[in-house]
Amino acid sequence: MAVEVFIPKMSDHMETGEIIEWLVHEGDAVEAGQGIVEIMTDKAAAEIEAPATGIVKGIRPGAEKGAVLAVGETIAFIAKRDEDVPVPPLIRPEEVSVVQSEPDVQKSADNMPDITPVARRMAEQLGIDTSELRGSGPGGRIQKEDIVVYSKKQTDISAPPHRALASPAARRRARELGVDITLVQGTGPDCLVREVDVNAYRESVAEYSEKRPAEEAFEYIDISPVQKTTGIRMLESVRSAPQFSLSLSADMEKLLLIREMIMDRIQAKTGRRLSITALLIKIVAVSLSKCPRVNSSFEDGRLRVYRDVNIGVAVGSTDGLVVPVVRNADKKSITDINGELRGFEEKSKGMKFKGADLAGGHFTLTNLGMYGIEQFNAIVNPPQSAILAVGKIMQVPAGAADGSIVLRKKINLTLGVDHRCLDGMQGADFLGLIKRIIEKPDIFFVY
Amino acid sequence: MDIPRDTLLEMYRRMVRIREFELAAIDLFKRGQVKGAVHPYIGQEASGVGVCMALRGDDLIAGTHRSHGHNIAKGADPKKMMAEILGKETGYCKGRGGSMHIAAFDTGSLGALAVVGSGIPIAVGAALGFKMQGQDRVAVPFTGDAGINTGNWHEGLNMASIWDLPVVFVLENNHYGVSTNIEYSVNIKDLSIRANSYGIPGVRVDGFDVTAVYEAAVEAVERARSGKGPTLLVTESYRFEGHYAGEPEVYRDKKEVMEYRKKDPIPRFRTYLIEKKIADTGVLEGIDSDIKQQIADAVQFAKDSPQPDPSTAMDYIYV
Amino acid sequence: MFGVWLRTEKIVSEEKQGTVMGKIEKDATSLGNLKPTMSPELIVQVKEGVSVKEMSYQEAIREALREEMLRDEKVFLLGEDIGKHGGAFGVTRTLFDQFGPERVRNTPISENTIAGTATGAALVGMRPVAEIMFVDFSGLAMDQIANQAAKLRFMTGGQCRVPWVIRMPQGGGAGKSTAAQHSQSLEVWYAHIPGLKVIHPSTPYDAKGLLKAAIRDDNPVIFLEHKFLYSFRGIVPEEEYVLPIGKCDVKRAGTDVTVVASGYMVWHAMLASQMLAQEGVDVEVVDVRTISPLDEETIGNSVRRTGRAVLVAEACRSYGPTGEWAAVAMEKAFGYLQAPIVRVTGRNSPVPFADSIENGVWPDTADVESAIREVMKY
Repeated sequence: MAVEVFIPKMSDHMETGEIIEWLVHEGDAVEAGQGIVEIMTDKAAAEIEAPATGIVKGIRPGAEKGAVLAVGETIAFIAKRDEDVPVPPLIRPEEVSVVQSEPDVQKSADNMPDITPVARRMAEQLGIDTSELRGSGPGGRIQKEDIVVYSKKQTDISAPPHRALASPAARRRARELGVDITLVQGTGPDCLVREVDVNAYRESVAEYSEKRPAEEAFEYIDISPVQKTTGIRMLESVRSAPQFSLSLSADMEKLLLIREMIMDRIQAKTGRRLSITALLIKIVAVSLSKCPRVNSSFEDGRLRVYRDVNIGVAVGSTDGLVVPVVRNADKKSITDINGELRGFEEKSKGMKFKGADLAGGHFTLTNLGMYGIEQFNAIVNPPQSAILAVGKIMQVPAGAADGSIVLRKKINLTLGVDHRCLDGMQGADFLGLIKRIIEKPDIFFVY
Repeated sequence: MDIPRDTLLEMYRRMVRIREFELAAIDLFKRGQVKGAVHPYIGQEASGVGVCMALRGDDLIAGTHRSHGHNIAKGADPKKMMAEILGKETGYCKGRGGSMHIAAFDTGSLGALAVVGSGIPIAVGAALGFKMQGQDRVAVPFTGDAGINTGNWHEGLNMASIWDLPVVFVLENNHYGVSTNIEYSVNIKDLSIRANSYGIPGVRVDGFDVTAVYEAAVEAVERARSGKGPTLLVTESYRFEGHYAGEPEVYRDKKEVMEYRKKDPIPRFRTYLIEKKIADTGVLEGIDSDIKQQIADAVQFAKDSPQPDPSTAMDYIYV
Repeated sequence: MFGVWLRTEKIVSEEKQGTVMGKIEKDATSLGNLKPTMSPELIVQVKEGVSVKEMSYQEAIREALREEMLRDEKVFLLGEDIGKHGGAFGVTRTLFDQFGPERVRNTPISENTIAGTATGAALVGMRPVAEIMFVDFSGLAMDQIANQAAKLRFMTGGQCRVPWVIRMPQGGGAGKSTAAQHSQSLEVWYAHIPGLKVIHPSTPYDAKGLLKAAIRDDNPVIFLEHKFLYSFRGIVPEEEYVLPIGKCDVKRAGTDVTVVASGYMVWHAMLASQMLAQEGVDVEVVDVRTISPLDEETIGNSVRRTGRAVLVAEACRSYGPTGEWAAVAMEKAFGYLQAPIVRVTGRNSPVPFADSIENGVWPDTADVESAIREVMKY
């Protein structure tokens, strides 16, 4: 009597298993308990053991390396040598959700993705780098609509990231109460926000403010549009991305020496003192080019890994926090980067940034060291995968090679990570690389 | 029949008034001052006047789209009529009806109605109302030959006949329903025989002879008023103008029109009056110029009057 | 659901009938676990302490005609077979004997001229009440009704008025099997014509009061009677009363959802509300009564308060009356809507003959119930 071999449920959340490798072939004799195929579950690789002694027969067509099958699916039988076994239906690759690698976009001769003339003109006008765009036309061809959609996503800093689904009564109530309806959790069908939900939200907020003593003097201050938008985006980030942080200190002594050496030259060239931030941008850019997975965004369940290293730098301005972008930072010199930062500083007085300045960032660096902050955890800037928070340089005791205690100038670097994109090890690799470059800054000669 | 002189002169006046009114209306239309359409009664004056002169002030007529003539024949004021076709507030219907819906209730006209034959059941109803209220009034719906095939017509004649209602059904046979000749639309030559289907008398007269029409009408009205029931009175007429003012009239021969124009009832009646020594040329020309002036005044009055105030747009929908 | 009528109780005693309109929920809870049924107790409209009699919808209409004909000699009836025969649905029974052939006039089959004659008579001072046997036949009279009577006052700049009533049975009844040309609900045909008023009562009380009002109204009024309701019984005051045209009637006050309905559908709405009351859903039932001119205020205010609207009409879905009511509810109460507006309507099809497919052509209590449940999800 033939015994089924099937994908077993090996953990609570496992729904599918991916075939890594068959350890036996059709017709081999196996003992009960012997490993016959290696599969990948949702957590780890595991061996499926033969449920009986006999001959491996009827390996399912299509159940080969890379095939993903649902828990419970039959993949083979253990039977007697001349026994007939049923043939399970063929597994077609497209019937099962396999994580595909990005399809190759048809490229034209100069290695840029195919793009319509209209779209190309539009992109030029808007200052959009189309090399990272995947178009909606045939073969990934970029069309005008793609440019429109992309530019709207990037430049529309004032539009809220999502619109609440709410009943007319709920909206009216929210208006009356001055409640931001996007903050209200809906309990209606499809999570529709109902009027009762708005009232409940208001009450919960009111409860909090009621607990404070009535005699407290206070005033209301309006929150600027930029700050409001930042708040909305940060809320969305925290709500949607599971974030964790990794922190380390890097020894800045060598880097500071080199900085001194080149300070005058750079100041002459750019009209600005060479900042730590500028150096860090270069170092981070180089690290990103070495760890491309970090130079990415989370999009529709996939990781969108960019080719260009565009680093956004958090800049405080009169109206709030903005993040202008240094494009292709890995290809720019420290001089160039320093000059750009000067430009950002000037623009930040009176918010002269244009949409194009703020668009296209793939990673964010935020430095609060000049404000005395020693260490902090930054919130990932959605939809990016990670963010680096830099603290101030401090002179701290450290152990020397000979066992003595010396004072070293160190800086804290905290990497905020979206766990959907990177895990601890990947983040640690990246952060570690940054530290190594800081502590052994041969970037000036090698990179 | 001996018709009193005053009656005859009034007939003449009304026929000329209709003629002058229609000519003025056509002129205004051609100048673009009358909107929509006008349907001239020119050539049929004797038919309308002959019938209406046989009616009392409190008898009711119901018209068609070609009812300028009927209204004037029944005694309507040309000033208010002209104002109505220009769509002015001072018109009979305060500008709400226009040429095709002119009603002059104070002179016993239920109004022009644009849907062919639709006035017939209404007149029948009015006659029923008269009878039930013990009044000796008469209802007279006009219709053209084109209306003789509508359900309105058949049902109306039937209803009036079974209840012996005081109605005189006047059928003005001008031989055309827009562009369709009556010989095509019906299978009979003498339209008045249709009265037989309803057991009522059918009379046929020369619609260009106002006194003939008058005599026939007097008899029919008397029948109705005395409770003897309805009559079908067919007047053989012709319209000299097109169905509407400015129509190209591709459907009839110019020669035919010219032939009928020779029968023009107004010069014919003028001749009759002079021959019978009822009036002389001087009197008649005096009437002519008076009427011309009256119509000119009416035109001026209409032009000077205001259109209805937009704030009154929703008036008169409900009581 | 078919009505089981109490034919034995002619005069209802005072303590039994004294339920004030709007307190139906008392009955619901007193029913306990009993399932509510279609019965006269569903809709009670007479105040406590008023002397009443019980009669059917058909009888109530006849009483209205009788009273108005006694009151005003200008009122007379005309229509097919309304004389000795008493009308196709028996409404004018006994009136011929009482008033004679002059005032209860049989006509030949001439719908157009029935309407036209009514118009002409009305123009000269009479107050005719014409009957067209089925609303399905009224197309034959459409010119006289819509082009003439409705518009004469307007076209003549107010020189005349047309004070007639045309009564027409409409609607279908499951199992009646009168099929496509005898079962339609065509109120929207007439509601769309400015100058006409359109009434569609749901109870004997409403029928009597509104017909009297219609006869006394100086405008042309289309009075649509639901043929299935002719046998439905109800309490009617002995004393004379007239109801206002152009006002909805809130047959059941409620807080959770507004059900707007007309005609027979009002009964389904009331039955559904009783059933749902046992589950703690408080339904407000608004009986439109006058289809045109529509009382937008009452509908709007109700939907504002409850935030939920279920619109029930027997007419087929497309371009039916529920479309108009939905627009009114949205216009008047948009900011207060908790849930989407739901329509419960007749199937978009001519009415078939066979039971198996005639069933389900019109909404019933279960349909109204499930629509209410739908909006209560929000």
